[in-house]
Amino acid sequence: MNVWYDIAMKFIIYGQGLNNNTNAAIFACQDPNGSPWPGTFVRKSGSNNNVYGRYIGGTAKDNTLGQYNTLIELPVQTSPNKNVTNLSNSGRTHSYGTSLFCVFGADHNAKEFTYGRLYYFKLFVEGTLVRDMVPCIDPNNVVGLYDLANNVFYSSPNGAAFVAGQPV
Amino acid sequence: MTGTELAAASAIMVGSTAASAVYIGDTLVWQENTGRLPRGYTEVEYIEST
Repeated sequence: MNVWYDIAMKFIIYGQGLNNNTNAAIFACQDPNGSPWPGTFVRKSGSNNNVYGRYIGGTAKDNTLGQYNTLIELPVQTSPNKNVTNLSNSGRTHSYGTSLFCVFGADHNAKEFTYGRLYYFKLFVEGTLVRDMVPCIDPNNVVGLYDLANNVFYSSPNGAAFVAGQPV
Repeated sequence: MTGTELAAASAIMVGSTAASAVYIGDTLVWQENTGRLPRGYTEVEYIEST
């Protein structure tokens, strides 16, 4: 099933993590079977220091969002026909429920990750909020994201702990 | 605002109808959860991958 995705988020990308000289993304989704980049959102690729926004299906990109170290806030887009944030395109079918979504990662197994800050992240599928990620510290003092839409807490999967900003 | 003595450290509790917080010096050590997260979670401005 080909579905429309919308995203709203606020972030800064500082640079690439492990396996540098490849990619950095504050958000990416990937087919778990290994097809690369069915939809990648906000990507830094290769040696170009631009932060590519709205990188869709490996075929379209928009480098108007700025560069590293720039605070970027993206409101949710609501028009499917003009929706530069949707993660599907005519060349690929992107199936919600089978694709993996990475925050701070540019690869489904998190071998490529991104130095940056995330202030909030919301993912909508066909207009329904399915992820509402809030930066927080859990009761065990672990820094991560709490998904208000599903009541799930996510911490860093690669052993490198996140650093928290000030309490709000 | 009231002040009290906690062990060797000076603690100040700030209370209102909306929220309460405890500081030791300038450091926030506890904040009542009145937000959207479950009890025990502290919402922060951002998280950073370093």
